[in-house]
Amino acid sequence: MLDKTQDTLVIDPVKMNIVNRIAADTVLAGDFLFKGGLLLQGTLQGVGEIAGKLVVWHDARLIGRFRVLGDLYLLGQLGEATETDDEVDDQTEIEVQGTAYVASSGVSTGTLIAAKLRMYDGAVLQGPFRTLRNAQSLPVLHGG
Amino acid sequence: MGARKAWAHPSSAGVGHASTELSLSLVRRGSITDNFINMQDRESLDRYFTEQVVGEPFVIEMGPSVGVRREPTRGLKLHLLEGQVELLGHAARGLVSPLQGDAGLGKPVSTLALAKARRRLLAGSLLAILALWSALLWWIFQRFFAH
Repeated sequence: MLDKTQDTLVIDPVKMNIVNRIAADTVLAGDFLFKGGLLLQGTLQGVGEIAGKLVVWHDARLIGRFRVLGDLYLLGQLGEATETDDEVDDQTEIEVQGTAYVASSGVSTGTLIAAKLRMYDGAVLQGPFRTLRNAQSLPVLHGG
Repeated sequence: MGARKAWAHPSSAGVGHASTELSLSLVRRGSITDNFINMQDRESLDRYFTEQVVGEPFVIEMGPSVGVRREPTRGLKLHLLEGQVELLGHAARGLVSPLQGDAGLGKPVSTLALAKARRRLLAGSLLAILALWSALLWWIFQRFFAH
């Protein structure tokens, strides 16, 4: 039974085009380009782009520099685990073109950049958060 | 919604997460002969593999509805108004298809707020229908009987 005091989210992989999955206890490292969304349940490390929505599951970890072209649902971890609470993982920078939803179990030790952020009580943003400005809103100079 | 019961995503078996509950999927898997697909039809092939590998629809609890912090890109009032419109949209969809309107697809919603919005929407719709009906009766009376 769902708790009515909690916000609930429906994940429909077909409708949301989440066509990729990295299973629990799987570790991948390298350069990646995911066509479509990704359900991350293991560990993904490196550099890359996810052309869709990204779900970082409980106990899953994303390390490195990634660009997410959709929304991010963070239930697991972004960045390396740190020894102290005020330490930041400089190697991890995640850019989210949509909204970053950080669940109460979500932890980010890296830099999170997103157009919008929705954060639940209990979530930890140990690293910095920056608002992503729409590229179209930047002034464009035309030469005469 | 009484038919729904909690289940665990196959990959999370044995790992207890008190904060996460997954509901029964919306589509039931049949026997292997039910899964006959046309190998030439890429769309149905993609759909089949997505359902088999990534899984069927499930519900996640994100956290307590109260105390949600937002980082707006525009003014706070506009952002909150956008949230209200979003909630009404979910409520309206839920009236047509209650199973999918239970929680937002891809956008977390409060089940409590959703139920309230649904009640308000129903009451508002009934009032609007009543007002329209009264106006129609009044117009008919004025047009044909009032002399």
